[in-house]
Amino acid sequence: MKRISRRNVLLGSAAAATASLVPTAVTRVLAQGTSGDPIVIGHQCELTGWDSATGFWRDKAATGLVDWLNANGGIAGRPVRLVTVDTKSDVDTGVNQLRHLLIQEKVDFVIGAEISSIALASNTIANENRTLYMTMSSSEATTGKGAAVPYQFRMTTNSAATAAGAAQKYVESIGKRWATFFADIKWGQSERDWWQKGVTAAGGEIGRAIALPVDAPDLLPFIAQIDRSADGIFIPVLNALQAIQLLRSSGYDQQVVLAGLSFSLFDYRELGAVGDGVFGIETAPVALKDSASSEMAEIYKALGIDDDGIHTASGKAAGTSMIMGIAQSLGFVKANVEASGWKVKDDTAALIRHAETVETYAKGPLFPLGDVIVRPQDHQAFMDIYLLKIAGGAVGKYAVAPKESTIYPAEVDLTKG
Amino acid sequence: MSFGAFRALNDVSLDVGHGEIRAIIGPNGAGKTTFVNIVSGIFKPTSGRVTLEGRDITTLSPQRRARLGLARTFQITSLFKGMTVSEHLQLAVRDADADGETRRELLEQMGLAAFADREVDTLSHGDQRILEMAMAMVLKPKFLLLDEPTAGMSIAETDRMIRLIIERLRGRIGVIIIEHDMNVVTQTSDKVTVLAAGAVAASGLPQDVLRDPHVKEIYLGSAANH
Amino acid sequence: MRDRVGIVTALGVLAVLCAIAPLVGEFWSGVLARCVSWMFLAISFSLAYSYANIPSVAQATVFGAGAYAAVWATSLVGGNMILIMTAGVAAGALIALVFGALLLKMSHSGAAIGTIIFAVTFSMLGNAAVAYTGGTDGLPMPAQAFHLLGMPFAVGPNIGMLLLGSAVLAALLVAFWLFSGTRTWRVVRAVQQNAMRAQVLGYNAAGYRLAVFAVSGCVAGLGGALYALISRHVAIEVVSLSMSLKSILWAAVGGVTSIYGGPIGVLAVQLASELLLRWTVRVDLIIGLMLIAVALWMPRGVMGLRRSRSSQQSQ
Ligand SMILES: Nc1ncnc2c1ncn2[C@@H]1O[C@H](COP(=O)(O)OP(=O)(O)O)[C@@H](O)[C@H]1O
Ligand SMILES: [Mg+2]
Repeated sequence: MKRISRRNVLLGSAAAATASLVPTAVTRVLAQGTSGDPIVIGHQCELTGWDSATGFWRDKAATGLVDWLNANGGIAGRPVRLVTVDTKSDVDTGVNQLRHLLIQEKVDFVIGAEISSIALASNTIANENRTLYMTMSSSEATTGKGAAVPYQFRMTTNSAATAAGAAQKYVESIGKRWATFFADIKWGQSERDWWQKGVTAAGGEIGRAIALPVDAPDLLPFIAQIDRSADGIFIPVLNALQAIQLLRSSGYDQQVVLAGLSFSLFDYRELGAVGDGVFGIETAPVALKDSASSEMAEIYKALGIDDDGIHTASGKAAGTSMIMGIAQSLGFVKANVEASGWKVKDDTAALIRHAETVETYAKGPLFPLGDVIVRPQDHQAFMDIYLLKIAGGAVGKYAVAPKESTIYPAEVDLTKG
Repeated sequence: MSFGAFRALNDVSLDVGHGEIRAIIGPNGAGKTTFVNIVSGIFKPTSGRVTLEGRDITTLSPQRRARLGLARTFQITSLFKGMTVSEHLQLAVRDADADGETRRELLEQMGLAAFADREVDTLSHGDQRILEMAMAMVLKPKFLLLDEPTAGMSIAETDRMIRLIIERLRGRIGVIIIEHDMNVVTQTSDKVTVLAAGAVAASGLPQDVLRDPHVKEIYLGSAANH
Repeated sequence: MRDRVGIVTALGVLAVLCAIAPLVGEFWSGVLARCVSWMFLAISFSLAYSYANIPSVAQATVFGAGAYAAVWATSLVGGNMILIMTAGVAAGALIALVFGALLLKMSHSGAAIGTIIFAVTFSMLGNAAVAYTGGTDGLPMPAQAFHLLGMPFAVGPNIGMLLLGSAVLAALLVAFWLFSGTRTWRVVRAVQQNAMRAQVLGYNAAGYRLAVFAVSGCVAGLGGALYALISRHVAIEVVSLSMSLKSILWAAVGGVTSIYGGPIGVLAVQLASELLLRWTVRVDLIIGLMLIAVALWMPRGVMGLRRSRSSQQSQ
């Protein structure tokens, strides 16, 4: 989702992320109960650079869950070796690093970058290399026309799906009249469009959507244009903290909804007092009690996260959507390797053909919050979306939008040809 | 001519005829170089006009003026590092003169022939100033502005410059020469104009002007300051 | 004044790249191909800085214009690579002419700040003009049957593009070398050293500077088009200020006063980062220290080294 620097929000967490960086190539093979050649999974990750706040969680999740896999029978009984490379949050570096994984490390599978430009530049290359690319980008364009490729699957959600699902729920519970205040860049525009569709489909209406130019020196004149009669305000903007503060100080007391996956981008506690009552849209809650899932508890344990969703070593609130995306990507690989009888990389084409016949991934260790469905046409997964609300300094579950409500029309059909 | 609120030149009017050599003298900061800069087009005057052979050139760029036959030299030697003497003359003739003969002759006459292929940085100060002159003269300009051509020169070098001016310029084209050296002024100039604090303090034949006690005071008074 | 050592060094570097490409394998061929496209950017900075006297912090914007133009041209006219590269050159020239005309109205330091403003502004415009640039997602190069002079050509980070890029760059450098012996080039150097002096000799200094800056734009635009063909995806980062800063680093390491230094500068910095990436995440820090060292002890870059040894003047 986020594609340009949000240094103001990220400063604190970025510094912490840098301090706890792992070596670029992580090789941990715990051969407990596994045998044979390791299956090599490459991770193209934003370890440094402006997106390192989310990269921190993907890296933690990938490392921790690969360790967990190796301790629990690996994949098809074989150990898993993880090779992590740093994209530096930069497209040229990210692409080079992917080519390094593919050509030099000869990895079997790749978990891809989160930054959409890197993911889009990379999936063609992985596709040519006939390597399965589990994209972590949440730009819906990644699985859209001109970008979707057969060797790419997305086991995380995207802007279109979160807006579609969440809009319906929020229209039901908050009200019919909405205002949108969006960053005038690709991400903000697509969030605006999908939110518009979702709200309209749910029988609500959106007054004027207010565009915030990226170079706006002052948010106030734009905020002043927001419709005061709206029931709720959807704000896919980069400087969410500042926007909320100004909304409140300008007398807007409406419900405020942040764009999808915002709580993986920054620690919700950074919002402080103005954060109270603010809504977010994620693929998982933060506190364990809200998920009521023994599988999620197991994952938290493996990653060193306490029951309140605080990562013990770093003291940060867990970026749960990132963790879910990695878990489900690994779950997808494991399930399809095992079910398709995949042995070597040449078997990947057969694995994909098989995967296109699998409609549902049942709740389990790597699908901790419930069934996930994968649409064969564009290789996009759909999962329950959690609407979270900050209250009393903690973020809790407000509602769940069932996965069915997040489905939007596919733009391509990869199963043909 | 004003720089901000500062009037560097105030109501200075000079008419230099064809073939005339006019010296401008005056203490440092009097506005002499500013005057040359205005005539050559480097500065746009705040008010006033510049004409060349009756044509108004006030709004023309320096390069247009140069092309109309207005040449100048600089008080501070302004040659191009890394280029040879003959390359400088090639630059100076632009495309107008494809024939190297004239250039070679000029170098002979100015005593620079031996250095033709030397980079200018290796020349003595005097030879560098002579080269500046040669560059200004090679296109046979209609009018020449010389800003302290003998600055920093030895006595012998100064004599060489005086001879050059007398032999090659006098009576041929209009020249304005800024000078501090009264010897140079009396030997080369037809008329002298004294500038002080941006205004004309005196004007006339060299012998008259230089004898004028008022001029002596302006000049010596200021010269004593440094 | 032709710099024989410079041209021989630069062509030698390119020849070595092409010769080793089959030996170093697919990955490194791709890395080198992209490096070659960046060499155009480094050279364009040197041209602008040292010969148009415009310290341009917006060269990446010009490069990016070439890259986007290449993608647009591909959607419009298909896979004719000559046309695609021509589109890059034209876009680069156009942007440079517009920038240049404005920059020449500013003082030297004013122009440096002016280029920063251009770079930032165009970056924002690119971000906002999603329909044309794909915004932050970037624009993929349309899948086409690419062909060069009637022959099918596989674009992408591969040895073919490395050879093509090197050939085009070599031709450009040789052309420049030939041109650097002409009277016109002498005027360019005169204007660059002392514009006022050149003006009173009758030369239109601003015109020469603008022309050189436009040529630097053509070079950057051509590099951008090659970059687009190699990467097959153009992201907004390509036009960013930080990309421009990178081009300055490359030029500085190679020696900013010689356009032959660009290739060496790109290779030194990019290969060092590529290798360091395997060992540490602190690549930028190490590269930064390296650059401070260069600034302190090698102010004229690699190309400056030999000049201090021989007394030859060679730009
Ligand atoms: N570009 C400029 N900006 C501001 N003041 C200037 C400029 N050029 C000259 N001056 C001022 O104008 C006055 C005349 O300078 P100048 O013509 O160089 O004197 P001269 O050549 O007679 O010694 C000086 O006080 C000088 O400081
Ligand atoms: Mg003076």
